[in-house]
Amino acid sequence: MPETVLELQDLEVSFDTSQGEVQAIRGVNLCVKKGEIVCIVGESGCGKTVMCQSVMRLLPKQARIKNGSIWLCGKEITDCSDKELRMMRRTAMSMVFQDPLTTLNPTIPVGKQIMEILLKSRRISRKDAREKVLDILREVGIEDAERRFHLQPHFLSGGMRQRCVLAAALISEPQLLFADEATTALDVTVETKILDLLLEIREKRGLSLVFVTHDLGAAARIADRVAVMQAGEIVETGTAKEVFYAPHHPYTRKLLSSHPMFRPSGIHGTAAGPPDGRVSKSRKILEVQHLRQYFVVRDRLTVRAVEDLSLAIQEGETFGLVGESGCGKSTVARSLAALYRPTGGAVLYEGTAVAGEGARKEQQKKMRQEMQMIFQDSAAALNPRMTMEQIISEPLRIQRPGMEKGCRRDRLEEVLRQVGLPLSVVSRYPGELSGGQRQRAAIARSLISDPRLIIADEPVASLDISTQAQIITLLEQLIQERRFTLFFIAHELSLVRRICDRTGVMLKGRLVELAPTGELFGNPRHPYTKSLLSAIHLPDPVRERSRKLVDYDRGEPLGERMVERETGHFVLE
Amino acid sequence: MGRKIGKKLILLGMMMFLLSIAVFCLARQAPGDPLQSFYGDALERMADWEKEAARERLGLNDSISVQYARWLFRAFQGDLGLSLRYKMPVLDVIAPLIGNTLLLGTLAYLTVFALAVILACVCVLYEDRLLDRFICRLGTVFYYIPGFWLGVVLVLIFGVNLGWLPSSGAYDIGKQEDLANRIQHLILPLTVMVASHLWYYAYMIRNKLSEELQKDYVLFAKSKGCTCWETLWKHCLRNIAPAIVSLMAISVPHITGGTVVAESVFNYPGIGNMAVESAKYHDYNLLMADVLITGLVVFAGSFIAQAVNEVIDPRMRETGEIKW
Repeated sequence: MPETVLELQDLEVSFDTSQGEVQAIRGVNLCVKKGEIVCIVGESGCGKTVMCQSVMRLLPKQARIKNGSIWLCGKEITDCSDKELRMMRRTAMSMVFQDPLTTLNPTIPVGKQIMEILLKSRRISRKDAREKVLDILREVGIEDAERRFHLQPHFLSGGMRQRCVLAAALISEPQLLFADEATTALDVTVETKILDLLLEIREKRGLSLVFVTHDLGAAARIADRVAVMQAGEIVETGTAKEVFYAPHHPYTRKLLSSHPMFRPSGIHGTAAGPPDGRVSKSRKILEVQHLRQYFVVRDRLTVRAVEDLSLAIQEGETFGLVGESGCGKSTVARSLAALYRPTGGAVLYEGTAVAGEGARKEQQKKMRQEMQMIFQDSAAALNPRMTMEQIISEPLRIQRPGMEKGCRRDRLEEVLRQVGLPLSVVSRYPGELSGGQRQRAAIARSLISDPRLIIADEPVASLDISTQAQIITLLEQLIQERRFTLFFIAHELSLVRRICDRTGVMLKGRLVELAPTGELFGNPRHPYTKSLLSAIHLPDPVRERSRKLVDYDRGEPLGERMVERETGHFVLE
Repeated sequence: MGRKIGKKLILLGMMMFLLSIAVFCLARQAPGDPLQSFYGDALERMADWEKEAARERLGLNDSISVQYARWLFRAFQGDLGLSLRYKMPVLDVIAPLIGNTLLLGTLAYLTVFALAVILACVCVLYEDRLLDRFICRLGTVFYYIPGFWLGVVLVLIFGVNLGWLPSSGAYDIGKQEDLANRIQHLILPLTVMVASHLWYYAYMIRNKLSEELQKDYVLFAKSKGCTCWETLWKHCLRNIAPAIVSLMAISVPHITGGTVVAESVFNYPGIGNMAVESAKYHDYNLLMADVLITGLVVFAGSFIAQAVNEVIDPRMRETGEIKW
């Protein structure tokens, strides 16, 4: 029987807010054995982060531990003084946070940040400390550690930074490591690598890991045991296989069914794509030709966001665009909406240029009337000082100024019904809606003028999984009913697979592969696409563990031009 | 770097030009007679034709634009004209005063920011607790007390009633080289300046710090086992240093303005006091030189602050092209 590293007994944590006391954790019992990986899954606000913070004692000021006890390595720590707690953090437990871009101090070289606590807590010379840091940097997979030791975080990529954070957490040789959404902010391929690294470190050091995530696929890959959390309570615990294959609690089942690859009959790696035959093959509605979009930052930095990109969207199809963060997807979306002045090339709407060479103002106006956008972060995209009625009916006010008030109201009620929002939201402000409701409102806003084309830039990326599933289902349903063309951007491939007819893959501002979705997933040709596909997570522990990541060498030069390998399947070569 | 300095110099030239036009015109709009300062009481005994001749001689009868062009032409040759009141070249009048003002201004400037940072740290460590609230309230009270009033009160208490400190001047006559004497004279003006400027900056830095403390890297530092003070000192203060330096840069005119008040209240022989005097007596040339020198100091201060900023924050130096 391996020894217990962490044990929570009836833990209750509450927050003092202006509306009185709010219970964040309601009597949680959890036990983590030595060398074990326990995943806590749940949606945002369920208390999983608060739980980690209450062990680390990094709770915000308003929070307090109301009840229960925390046993760390056989010691009760709820009554520990600040000093004892600091010692615990320096020796027994560490934490890795969600966003590596903000976790590291931007002005201090990473090596120094890792070394900082080593110099304090142990009697060790600077030179030895440095050696130790370099060792650990190599252990977490950072090549050329001597040079990177002296770099500020902004010189490193996201994955590299997360490795540094991990190194800083491991340097104190903790017995317990918390990883709070440690892979959520990373790109899929990097995510898999970090997960594998965590597994490897567990093997080597025998430490216990509490991995908090909302991504069931990630949990399936590394968890020994899984605890499902809902509203401050653990509703189900068990080994990974028990929880994923035979969920008991209805909430667990709901979570599992929210995964985009999920079909009522179960999870399929080869789930069917969207139904065919909706697309009228002949008509191109929107097209970009050799688009180049550069941005000049502070007079001296040229960012080549999009480089020589050509694609055409057919009337009635759902076109997906995928790629890692920073590859230029959003720029393409905005260029398509003619929101930028292209550096080169042109955007054509129904064959007439709306931006770039030979652009015509009238055509642009026509396009604006027939096209709408949905943004990723609806909280930022909707004006917080306008009521939902004003926001949703604004397109009508601009495009159909002659429309009568009654008519407008009827239309408003109709779209609200379609997106499944109650009529009562019209008088509310965006801040008073939940994330899912806001995204529904954003969709309603884009539908009200009955557009032919909708450009959706990661419309579900900022939502919880169950909400994500609802919104995707809604979009599918609306496409069936309204038959608009959808340009859909995502960084998650499983989403694209579910709703898109054709899919393009972007890398470093270029389109590297373009094919019908089924073909792309079944027969990927570009090495980058292969790598991306191999990084898809599934909430299926057996498959997840056997899944091998296909590595893609980013140093490789990209090809010159798109070549059609099969009908409709283009690859950059 | 050379190009950047070139740009700055052009900017400086333009600023000086506009400043000189503004001061030149404004000074001449003020009611009063410049001859008063030239002849003093003798003016009352002068006949009208004598006054008229004097005006003609001093060039005061020409239109403003002609007067300005003449001033500008001479200024370019290094001649800023004669002071009407002191009847000697303005630079000779001002030169001995610059040192006094720089001493007072720099001391006040450094004291204000050193204390502001310390107060801000104390406030943040005790955020929303009694000490923090007390300091903030105290700041609000002092911020609204006018500097000149505070000056007069301090003079009454420490200068007149208690007799501990001198109430005016920069040194006692004949003790120009005596450092202790100078410091004695500096205490009251410095107190007034610090008391009326400190709080505003302390509060700004406090808010900036408390905002910084919300950032993820602070949590990370704490999770490594750093103490509150270490996170504050080693992580946060360093990161808001560019913000503090920017604040210091834009505060140069504010604090320079403060020296004018302090100098006039304590009759401290500096260029701020001189500016007030010369405006009062319509000593146009003196006023021009005075204001331009002040402008130059303000500009140089901002420039230095900006340069320091780039040294502190490596992200501001980044150049080159991002390539995939």
